Amino acid sequence: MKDEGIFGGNQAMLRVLDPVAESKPAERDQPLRALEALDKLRVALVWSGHAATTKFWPVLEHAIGDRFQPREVRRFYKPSTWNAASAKEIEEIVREADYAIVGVGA
Amino acid sequence: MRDTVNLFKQGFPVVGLVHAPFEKLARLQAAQLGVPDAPIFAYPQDLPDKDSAEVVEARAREAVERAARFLLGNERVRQIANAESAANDHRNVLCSIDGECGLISSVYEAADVEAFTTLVFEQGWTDGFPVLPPTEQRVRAMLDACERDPYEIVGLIPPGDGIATIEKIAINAVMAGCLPEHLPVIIAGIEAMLDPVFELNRVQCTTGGPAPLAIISGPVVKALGFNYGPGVFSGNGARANAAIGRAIKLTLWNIGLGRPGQLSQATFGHPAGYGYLLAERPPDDENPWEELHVSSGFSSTDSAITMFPAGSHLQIATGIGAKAFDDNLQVIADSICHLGHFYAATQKLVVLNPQAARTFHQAGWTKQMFRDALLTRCKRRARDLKHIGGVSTTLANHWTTLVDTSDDEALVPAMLDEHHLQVMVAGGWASPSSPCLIIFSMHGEMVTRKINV
Repeated sequence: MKDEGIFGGNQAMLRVLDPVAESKPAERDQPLRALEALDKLRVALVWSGHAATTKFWPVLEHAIGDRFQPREVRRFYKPSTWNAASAKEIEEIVREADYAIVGVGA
Repeated sequence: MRDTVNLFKQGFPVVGLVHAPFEKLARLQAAQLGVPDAPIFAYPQDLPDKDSAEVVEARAREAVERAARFLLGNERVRQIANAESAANDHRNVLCSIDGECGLISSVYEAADVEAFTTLVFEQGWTDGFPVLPPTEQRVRAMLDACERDPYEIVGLIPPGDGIATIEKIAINAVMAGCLPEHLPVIIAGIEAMLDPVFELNRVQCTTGGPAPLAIISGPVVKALGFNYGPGVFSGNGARANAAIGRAIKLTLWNIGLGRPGQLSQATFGHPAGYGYLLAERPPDDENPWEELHVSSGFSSTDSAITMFPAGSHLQIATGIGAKAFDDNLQVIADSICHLGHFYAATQKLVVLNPQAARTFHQAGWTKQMFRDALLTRCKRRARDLKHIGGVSTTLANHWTTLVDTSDDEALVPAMLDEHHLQVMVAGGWASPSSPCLIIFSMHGEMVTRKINV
């Protein structure tokens, strides 16, 4: 094979490979669970626990309770602000709630 | 953000809240994860010590109304997302391998080195330093030295979730100036960082701006010509140190897309962000204690790479040999226990120079005794720690979870156990000041993988 030299300079035209990876394509979606209203449903509250939101999040939870009177509240307080919830936890939310409010990205 | 995306992908009614300064990051990450229209909305950044109760209440009520609008309007957003998803399907090049095409990455052409360099910066393939052209010849030579299928997927590297195939890693290794025999080291390093305890997504994204430190130990240190002596962290002329450290960085840059101002929100970043690698001194060259990977359960005949999610890198003058051991330990413990890093019991790495290690060893100290002595000393009283703020209290081992916070005199440990205090020997011979290093994990923990050479 022809020596390219350290910068590939012996070739008339440099042909180089793309170092950027493809991303995982979005998975085919499940049908949307359409919601007509939010009242009296089961809500999942998924909190990142970020330090800046320790005052806001409880007030938000209270406001959600006032506004929608949820039939059931499932709280998912994450042990790590920066790690995504596990697939098992996501399945649990999907199974045990009608909608979710996630926060706070900070 | 990822939780919102993962729920949304399942057709689940969800809305995600994000602080306004991080809205761009959230939207870029959602797009990169294939859901450009994920239901997220931004609101002004909370300042818990300054916001009045009325402000917080009003902000929460407004957030609830906006959340309702998103949740009840999901169907329109869903239709857009479906269209995007379909448009993305053709990008799955891993499904389009045919015949003898061999390498599957896209090919770019450049007339010469200058044109190539221009292309590199136009495409964003580098963090600033020029790189070598990843020609097919070079990439194939790299792959030929590694008994791994080029299409094998090592994992998805966050935050962009780029598919890290052996081929893509090899391309980035060529760009960094690696030799073919370096590739197994890099692959093992990538595998280590993908262990969840390393928290790679955080390392790549957080405002804290950490940098993954690669630590090489075992026979491979001499076999590949790593510099483990004087100037071990600086430009020291060793190709293995510089090129492998750089290849790991480029892999995170080009496959994980952890790029500042885009998917990375590092406030300052890390001065070693271009490449951060440390080789441990071998047992037959002034390292009296067991090597790092041996302390982690590997054999002394194994070669290993340990990836450490490094935050701060602090060089201190310990005076080992010039003062009593009690003084030396006090200096190290005081340096570990400063308030800026005491928000949680996180992992620390103490790097002793060979003069320091020999001094302790000749006095009968084992590595275990050294660790135990530091673990006993590295504590602060709760009253001091009450000055700390701004760091999530939900962090594992946050100091408030370790003691009774109503007791001002309670002693809070900086590290929980010996796993949280790693010790190794590297660098050149030291003067009586005996400079040593303390490297602080921002939160995640180091992971060690055997290098299959």
